[in-house]
Amino acid sequence: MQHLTFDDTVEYTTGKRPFIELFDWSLFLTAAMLVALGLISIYSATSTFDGKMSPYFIKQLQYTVFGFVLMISLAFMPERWISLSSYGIYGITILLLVAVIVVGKTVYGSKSWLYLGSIGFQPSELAKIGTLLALAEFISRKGVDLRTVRDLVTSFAIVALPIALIMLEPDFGSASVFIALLLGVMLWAGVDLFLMFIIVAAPLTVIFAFINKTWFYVTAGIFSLWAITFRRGIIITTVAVGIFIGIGFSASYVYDVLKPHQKDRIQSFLNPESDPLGRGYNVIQSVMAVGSGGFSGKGFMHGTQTQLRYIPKQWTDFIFCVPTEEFGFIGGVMVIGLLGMVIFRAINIATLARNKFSAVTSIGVATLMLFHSLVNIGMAIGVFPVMGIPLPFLSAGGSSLVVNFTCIGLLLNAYRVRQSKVIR
Amino acid sequence: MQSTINNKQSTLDEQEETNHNWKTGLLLVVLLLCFLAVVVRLFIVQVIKKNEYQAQARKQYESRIELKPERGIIYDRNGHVIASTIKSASFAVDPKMVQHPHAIALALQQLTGDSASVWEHKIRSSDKSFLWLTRSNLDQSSILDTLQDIGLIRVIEPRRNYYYGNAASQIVGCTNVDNKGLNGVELALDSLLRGTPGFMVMQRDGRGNLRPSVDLPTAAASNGKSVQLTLDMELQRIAEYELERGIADAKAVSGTVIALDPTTGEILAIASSPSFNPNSPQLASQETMRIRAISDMYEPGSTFKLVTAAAALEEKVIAPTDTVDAHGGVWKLADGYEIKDTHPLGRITFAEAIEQSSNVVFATQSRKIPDDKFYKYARDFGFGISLGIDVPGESSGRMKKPREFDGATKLFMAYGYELAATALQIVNAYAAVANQGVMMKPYLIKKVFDEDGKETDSYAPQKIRQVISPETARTLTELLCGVVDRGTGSEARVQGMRIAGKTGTAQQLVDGKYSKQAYTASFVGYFPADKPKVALMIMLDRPQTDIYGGKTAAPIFRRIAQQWISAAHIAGVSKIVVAEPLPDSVAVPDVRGITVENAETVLHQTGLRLSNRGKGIIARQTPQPGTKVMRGTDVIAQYRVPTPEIKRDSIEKAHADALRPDVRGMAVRRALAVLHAANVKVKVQGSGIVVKQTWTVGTKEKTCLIECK
Repeated sequence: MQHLTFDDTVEYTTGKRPFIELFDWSLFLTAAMLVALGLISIYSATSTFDGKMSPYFIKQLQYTVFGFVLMISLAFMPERWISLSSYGIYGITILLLVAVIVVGKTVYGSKSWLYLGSIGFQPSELAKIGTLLALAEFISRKGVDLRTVRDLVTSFAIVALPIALIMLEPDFGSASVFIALLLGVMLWAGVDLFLMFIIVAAPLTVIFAFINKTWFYVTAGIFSLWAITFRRGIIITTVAVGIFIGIGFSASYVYDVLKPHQKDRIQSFLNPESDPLGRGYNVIQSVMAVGSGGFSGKGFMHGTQTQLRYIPKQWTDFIFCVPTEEFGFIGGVMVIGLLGMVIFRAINIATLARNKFSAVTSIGVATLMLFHSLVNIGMAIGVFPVMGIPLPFLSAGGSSLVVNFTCIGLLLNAYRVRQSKVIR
Repeated sequence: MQSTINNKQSTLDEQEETNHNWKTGLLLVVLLLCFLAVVVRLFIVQVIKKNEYQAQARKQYESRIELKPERGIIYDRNGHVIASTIKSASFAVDPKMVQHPHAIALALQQLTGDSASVWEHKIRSSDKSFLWLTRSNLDQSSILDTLQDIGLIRVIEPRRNYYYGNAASQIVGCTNVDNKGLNGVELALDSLLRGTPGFMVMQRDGRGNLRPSVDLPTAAASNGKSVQLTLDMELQRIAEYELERGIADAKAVSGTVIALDPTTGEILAIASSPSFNPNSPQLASQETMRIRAISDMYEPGSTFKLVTAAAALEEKVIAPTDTVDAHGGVWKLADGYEIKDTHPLGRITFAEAIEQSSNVVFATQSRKIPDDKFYKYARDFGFGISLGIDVPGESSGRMKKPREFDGATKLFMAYGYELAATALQIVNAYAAVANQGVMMKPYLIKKVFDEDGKETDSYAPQKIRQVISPETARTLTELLCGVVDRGTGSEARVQGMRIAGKTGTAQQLVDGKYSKQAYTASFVGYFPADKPKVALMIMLDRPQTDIYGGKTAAPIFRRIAQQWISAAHIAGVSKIVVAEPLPDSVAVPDVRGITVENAETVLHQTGLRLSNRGKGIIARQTPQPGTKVMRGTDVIAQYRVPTPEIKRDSIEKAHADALRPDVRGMAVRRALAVLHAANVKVKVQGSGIVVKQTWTVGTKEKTCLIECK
């Protein structure tokens, strides 16, 4: 029982806690350490040879200050304000996503940057918060039951709209985050497990279908058998099996529709060594940097691969190589551990939440953090394809950092207004 | 547990609570597994496969740079620098980056002479990212040097500089752009001069730029060793200057000179003309690079009579005062051969026979020496075998063995036919006589120094054998002095010094027959006759004005001997100067005996200036060679114009002016050459053979219209 994590002997009453207990210091400190590690890594990966701070580092510092203020404000905001403004925020982010398609700036083949004067930001990042809030607001509304088709479709629609807009940029990496978000929230809020199974298994089948036919047959076979074990009646099971097979066979057609840089990413994920100077270059360099760090690392500012700038754009998506190369396995485990602590804490807060909105928000945050962390680290150590997803708190990038601080702010808010448990 | 909360929702809450509980549990387990998987993977990459990735990374970021060693210096016997390595600039462009191709093209036009538009096209049309423009330019590159263009690449490379230009070029040799010896001493001692390269490990960044790193290993290059040659560049320059002059006078195809110290076998000068400039070897033909004195063999003719005379005197079959029959200049052999003298002689002494170079006498006297004895003497004098000189390309010549002799072989050999020898073999045979019958091994490399100037090797003179007795050697010297004093070698006579020598005029074999046009004219001798310091040989290939060695080669010998004696270099000083000069002081180089252009180059290299220009060669200089002076000091030169040459030139010119050469019947090309030489302006109609010529004589110039068919 999670509730026993609190001191049983103390009696709490809502709203009358000492100030110190209104704030989740452990979560705050964990996040602060992650941000600090991120700043150290960015400094190391971008500093000029005469040891000066780079523009990336300075910008990250500025956003850290901004994000911190935002986080604290959110933490102490009446929780109703957040839930009330959910749809509004969602609406604004959707408008921004539309705007970026119209007037956005194209970077690396994706039209994902919007400029307000000289300040650029990525609406797809902000949409993560908007969608999370809207989803939480919808699910926590009285009478909404995800086991009904109507409510399920509505929740799908809330997520599908930003996905569709982001696909237009196109930015499949960011789009995948929303799918993960939906899955995490659905699983928590109680959805048909068979449906969940289909939703998870279908994309996996697609990935294996991209590799080759044999892998596809094996995967489709396993999932089909698994589908039967749900004992959902012959028609539904047949439909499920049909989906697996259909998706698999349409994979090659979908592949043809993909943009060249998308195809390249899939190819370089499946076989990074096939083109060491081209598509797979980043992954090879990244794994080499991580691997050469060894157990204790080469020391701050002494990572050869980092300092000699072998990993292009290392300070954004491949930031994980910096702590792992310079601080070794110890540094890597530290980053993973801290991120794990944030996620565990988010789940913990979800169970403590006083209302469903806070709980769903917290679970959403946990899902976002988990997905970002696993995909980004997996990419840096060569087990996931290059998806262009930042590492929470560490990757350089204002939009991403602000979103992460917002997430922590939401968790702190949920913690502040957590259930009061009066123990007998 | 929840009983304190009392409302209707409690059962639903409880249900949802339990639901959430197992979901949370599942979530946490999945989460843990995910993180565990990542950590395990991280462990595999970072800890288990660490060495593999570290090796991979090192291979990528470490770059080994070769540190080029500096090539050793080549000195002459007096410590003058013949060749050393200096830093020079090469230029290249990155055609994609270049900003001012036109300016660069203009600079290149000045530098190379190729038109700017050609260069500009070359730069603009190149799709490479690196294009060499000029390699190793010494002083002329300054125009390019001043250009500011990010596409212009300046590469500092070591470049071999030969301070004496063409002088001794064949023997010293040259290097290619990669500083590797191509020929001569540079090739023979390449491994010694080159040194061993070092290396430096640098870091290479993601863009391919190299950066030095303190904690990576470095091994310094060990520079090449320096060598001192036995050459005396003073004599070498005089010899080459006079050889060239002699070739021009005799209108010979080519010529060779070689001088050595008979007491030691040290080669003092060795050269062939035409020569090449080792500073731009790419312009030189292979022909001009050969060390002809050691590589080319020819039938020596009368100079070989030394061997016959030595054998006859040593075997006591004859004495210098014995009278012999010269058969009136023609001696018919039984099998139809005829041996002829150029001047018919009757009964003369053996000494006179040498002085007049009677073929008949030498042929007849050789019959008194058994074949194998004769062969032994020739062999002992170094013919038919390699002398083992320390530079590549030596030929051993050709000589028949006694069992291969036919009836006339020895008779022909007696005056230098039916065998082939190199100039080195001949001069070395004379040197043996000069050195009281002791033959020394000829050599060129005197000492080897390491980069600190410490002597690491020294080569002492080596005695090969006592060829003849000192008495016979003395007798032969007297006879050879007679040749110069009274005989065919009189043109080699130098006032105030006894010179021993012998002329040689040999018909060349052309298509298997002895030619009446192609001769080898030579003169070989030594001086001073009583205490010889130099054995010197001059050989001219196909002289045109006069075929005789006594008329063409002997004057060259005389002029070299004269100048050398006056330069007072008889007493050989062989001490290398490794004195440390003050930063601003330099030792004045010796520019005596060279032309104004060469002197300017030599002085420029040392940071000095030539104050006055003049014609001919430098006779005296102030300050004296070897004096320490401040950089930038003027060196005043006194020139000596070889007067006869100028006089003859002007006479010829006057003659030519007066003449209106008849070119009818000549081919157009030849006619043009003749008329051009006569200072006539020519108009040509048609082509082929000149059939008619019409003169128009103006006040200043003559014009000749030639009509051809």
